[in-house]
Amino acid sequence: MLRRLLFALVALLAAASGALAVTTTASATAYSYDRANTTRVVTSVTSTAGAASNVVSSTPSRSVVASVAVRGPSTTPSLTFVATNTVDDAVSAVPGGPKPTPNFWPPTNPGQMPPNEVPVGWRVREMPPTQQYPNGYWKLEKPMPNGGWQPIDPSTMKPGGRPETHVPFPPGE
Amino acid sequence: MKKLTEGFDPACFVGRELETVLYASNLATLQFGDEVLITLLAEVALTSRTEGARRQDAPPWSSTRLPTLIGRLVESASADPSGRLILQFDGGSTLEFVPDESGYESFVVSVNGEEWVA
Repeated sequence: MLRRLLFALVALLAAASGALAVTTTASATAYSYDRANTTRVVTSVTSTAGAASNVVSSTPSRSVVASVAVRGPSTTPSLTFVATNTVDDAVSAVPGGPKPTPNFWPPTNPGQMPPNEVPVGWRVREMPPTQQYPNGYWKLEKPMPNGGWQPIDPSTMKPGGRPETHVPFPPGE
Repeated sequence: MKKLTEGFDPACFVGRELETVLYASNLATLQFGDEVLITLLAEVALTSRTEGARRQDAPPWSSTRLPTLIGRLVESASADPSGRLILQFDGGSTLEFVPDESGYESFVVSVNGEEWVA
């Protein structure tokens, strides 16, 4: 009798195991577009058992740059995504501080004062505090032939993107 | 430098021709005559009357439709309190500059040397 009960229990478990195998889902990758050339990628692998869904592994959100556009006959470019850096680090808020915007990439340069001397014709533009820059920020800019200003990354003295060229003032300045 | 929301009058664009679009790795400049210039640091949405679709361009530039507007005149311009700037061109195309949620500057408008940032 006890043996029959054991067999029945084992058979029941085997059947349940098979059902789990059937309902286990494959990996899923979600791309959410936040800008034309940057894409926020959230990759997660989930297993589903019945109504429950358990994250087996997950990759932190990454910002990727659509680095290659292969133009076909249609107007829709094919894109290759290359991971660059994390953005979720940027949304770590200071307790009680201003709420960061969801797409804020952290500045690559640490808080510092602008240089005392810049190349001839260049300028340093100082800006007041913002949500992301409670002490304000500054930009080093190089004149362009048409009267525009090219933002410069002060760590390389070459043109850079926005996180490289918006430099926070240090606290207390 | 002021915020675009601080007293900027978009009428300065009206009647001006987009003469030049200049690209760099991290920006583009749109020149409307000698006095008016937009430095674009983030995305801009272009709605073409001929194609109908709303397309967003942004640095780094993998492809762009902005040059299709060269030679066009601005028929109307508007700006709203959020810092959004909309330019309507003859021929029916529209350029929409929208400050993104990155926390960084999205574009700078220069008029006779005076600058506004959004």
